[in-house]
Amino acid sequence: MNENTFFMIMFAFGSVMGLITLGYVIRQAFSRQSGEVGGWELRGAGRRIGAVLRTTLAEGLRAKVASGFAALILISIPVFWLTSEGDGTIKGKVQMFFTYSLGFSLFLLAILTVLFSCRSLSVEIASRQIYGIVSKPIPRWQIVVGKWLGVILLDLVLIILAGVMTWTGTRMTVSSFTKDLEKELVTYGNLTPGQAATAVAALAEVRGVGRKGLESPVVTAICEMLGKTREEVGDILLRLPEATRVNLRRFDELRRQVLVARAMIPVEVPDFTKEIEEIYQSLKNDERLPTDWSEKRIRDSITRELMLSYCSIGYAEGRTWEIKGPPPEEGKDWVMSLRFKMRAPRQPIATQVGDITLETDQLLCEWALGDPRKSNFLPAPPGQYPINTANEFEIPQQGIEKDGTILLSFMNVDPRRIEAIFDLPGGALSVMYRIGPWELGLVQALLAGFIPLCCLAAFGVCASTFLSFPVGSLIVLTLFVISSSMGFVAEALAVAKEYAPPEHDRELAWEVRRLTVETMDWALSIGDLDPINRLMEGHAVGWPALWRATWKYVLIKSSLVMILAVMIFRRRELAAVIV
Amino acid sequence: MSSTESRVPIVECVALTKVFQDFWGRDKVLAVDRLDMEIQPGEVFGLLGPNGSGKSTTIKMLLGLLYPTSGVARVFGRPPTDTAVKSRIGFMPEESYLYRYLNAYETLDYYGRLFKLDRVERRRRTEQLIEMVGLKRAGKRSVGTYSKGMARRIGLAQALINDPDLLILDEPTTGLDPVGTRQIKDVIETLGQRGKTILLCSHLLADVEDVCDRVAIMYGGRRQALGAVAELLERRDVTEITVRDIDDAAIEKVRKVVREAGSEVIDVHHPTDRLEALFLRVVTQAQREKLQTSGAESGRGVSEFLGGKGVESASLIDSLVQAGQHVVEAPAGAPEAPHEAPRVQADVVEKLRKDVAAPAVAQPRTEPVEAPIPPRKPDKAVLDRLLSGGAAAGDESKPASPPNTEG
Repeated sequence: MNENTFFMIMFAFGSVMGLITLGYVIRQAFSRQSGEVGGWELRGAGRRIGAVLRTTLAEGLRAKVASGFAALILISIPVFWLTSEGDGTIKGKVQMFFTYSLGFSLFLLAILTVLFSCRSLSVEIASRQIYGIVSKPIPRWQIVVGKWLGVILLDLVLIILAGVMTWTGTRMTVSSFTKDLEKELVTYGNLTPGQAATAVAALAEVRGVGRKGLESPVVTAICEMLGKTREEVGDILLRLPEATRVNLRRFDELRRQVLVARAMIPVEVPDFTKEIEEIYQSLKNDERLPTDWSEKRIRDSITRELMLSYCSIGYAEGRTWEIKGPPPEEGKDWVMSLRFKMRAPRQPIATQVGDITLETDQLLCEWALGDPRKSNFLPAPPGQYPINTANEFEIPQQGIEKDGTILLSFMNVDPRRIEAIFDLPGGALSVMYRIGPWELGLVQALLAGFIPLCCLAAFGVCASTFLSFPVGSLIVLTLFVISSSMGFVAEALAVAKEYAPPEHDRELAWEVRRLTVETMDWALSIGDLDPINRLMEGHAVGWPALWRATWKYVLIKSSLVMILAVMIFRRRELAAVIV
Repeated sequence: MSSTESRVPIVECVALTKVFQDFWGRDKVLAVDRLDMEIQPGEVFGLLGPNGSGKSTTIKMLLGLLYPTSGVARVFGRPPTDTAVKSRIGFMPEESYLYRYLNAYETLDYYGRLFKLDRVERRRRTEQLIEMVGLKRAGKRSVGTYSKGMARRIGLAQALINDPDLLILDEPTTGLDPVGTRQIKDVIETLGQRGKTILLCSHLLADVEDVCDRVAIMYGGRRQALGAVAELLERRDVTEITVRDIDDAAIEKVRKVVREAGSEVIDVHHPTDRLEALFLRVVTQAQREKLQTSGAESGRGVSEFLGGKGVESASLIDSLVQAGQHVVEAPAGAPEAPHEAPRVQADVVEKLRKDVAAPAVAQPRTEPVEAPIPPRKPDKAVLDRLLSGGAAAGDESKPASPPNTEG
């Protein structure tokens, strides 16, 4: 059995199982028996939905399962605050605390959402509490919607709790660091308590591009606030423990790159339409088009090749990108950074070239800002930058045009002749700038984490209309696990989609596979904003992205699921006896 | 029973059939089989039958919890699955399926919201109903901690929150103590007097007999009998006369009069009190002495908002006691006899009254400290004893044929 045959068998098996499930759902939704009669009764709907919502919320807050999850959140976040260390610096500690506290809270809330939504109607049906509700003048759609909103509201309450605790923990970490720093400045730096407090306050006034040593903007700010020379401040700082000196720089990074809400402008990919057309026509004229490939497949393939070619920069090659950002501002909080993430087709091995040691997993590159023909051209000396991790450096104001245009040049000068690849469609090269305080970013991250919960709750409530609690929760939990590991699944699906078929495989098979993969990709996804990683990088989700995700996952996908749930529930005989 | 002419039935079933299926859609159990039934406005209707006879299935179809396999069910002239008719229905299920984490006030408030009652009205009704069912002291406790009887009481209260025109009670007295049982009956009677239509489903015959105007008896999913309770139970060939403190000589005179009228005396005995009455008396006494209890207390009449224009909501226990005293203090000839005696001439009864009255007055009275509460309707136990005692009297032991008996 070759791989393609195996895939087709699995595909057929999955399709049959899917069709059986779909048939069961449709049978429930369009049962031959009569269903609920009457209109939607929108008048007074809010009050009745509100009643169901309140009761669901009360159950959530009073039931042991939900209160247990709330207690877990309440206990775990302080524990994370106490135990998070990261790389030992203040920045690492705060970032690790974010990851743990919000990541764990959102995970717990997802599990709670699955359990609570899946039991919302199924348990009431099983325990016959539903008799007392359905015999009242409330249309069934209002019961379903009330349950959904109740679960969502419970999530919202708990997510706010997690958010408040995360905010408190972060501020306490920062506050505790500055207090310790004050003490150390007094103890080791021989400053008076008043001077130490002023020096610490100066950290909030740091501005400009970070440099090392006495030229550091941190030293500049302290000099200005204490009225001392750079050498005097340098002498004070040198008396501090090594860890504290490192933390001074990390604290500045934390303040300007993490505890901030920043927008991101990715480098755009050029429009390849013309090139694609030319290549396609050329292949066609030369009669080199694959005979059993559709035009779409061929064009997709050409696009992919062109994209890879554009994103790959070989040895001694360079690229220049133009990015349109906001005009620079004068405020002390304003900062603009270049963020990039490279990858390499193979791992660079440590090599000695002259007096330079080229490190493993690093590439030697040159970056430059501005137009070389103008006076504001700012070339940076060649430097080694790690691959597969995000790098960030601040852009000085003089490197930005007054209208916000940034000309960015890159040169691959690594003599090991390894290509540097920027995954531009994935946002591997972008400019970030401050748009607001960290609290804004935190609120947006919480909302971004809340959207998948809404979607999950819709799936859970829908499952509870026709499945028992154990079966429904198992299915929705599986959906959650798959959607959480969507990166892995997406890769597998992409491989399946692009799997090169043997010669006998026809075009139809490829199209069916493509359709299946894209449908699964759409159906299994419950959110794509990745709020925690964004928060770690001080990257605000942004209202437009939140709005788009709300549309996609709450207003469209969840609504579709809820419509199905209502159709099933309106048709269902709630006191039916299966014999 | 209320007049039914030219009235639209509140509940109407025409050839109503329900078949339960297995997972694969194959017909397996015929739960209700071509049921024809009508319930008229203001009627207290009893649906009787042993377990599995189709009573609850019928009720569930009338509530839209089940859909008929064939036939038609209408409530207020509309399909029962129509949400619009449900605002006029109150339903007390066979068990109180309540939210364990809500207390009594929250439970009633929740159901009140479903009826779109405004806040003031919800509070008023909630307060009255909780007082009515005797849960005022336990009202703030979560319903999950209630005993079964207390849960039943709150189940009754939620069924009345909307002042329903049609009250559907599925086994309403299950799990209730005699006080609660009596209260449920009292509520049913009071609501019946206030013009409410009540469908009572039970297999406790005494309960149904006490309160229902008409009953249908089901078996195997089919209706086996239908008719007015009085008509179904009445033994038109037997007359019962109740007198106070009569001696053997007087009894002999009665026998003689009866023989002269061409009939015979089947049985002479002293009637006993019902255990229910004794129980109520003991509990009432304890409540008067304000003994502590963690359970339900005695309820307070019937809530005023329940269609009760100008109807007083007296204490249930008080009303029961008053009812007992009223009967005790009434003259011996008080018109309490539930059955008339069509076969015995009125003049014979009148003659008996005259003959018996004189010795009864002459004799010293030996009334108990607390007067027994005589049944307000024919005591079924007495009827049964009469039936068994009169077995030797041949065909007199056979009850008269019900006017509308099937199968």
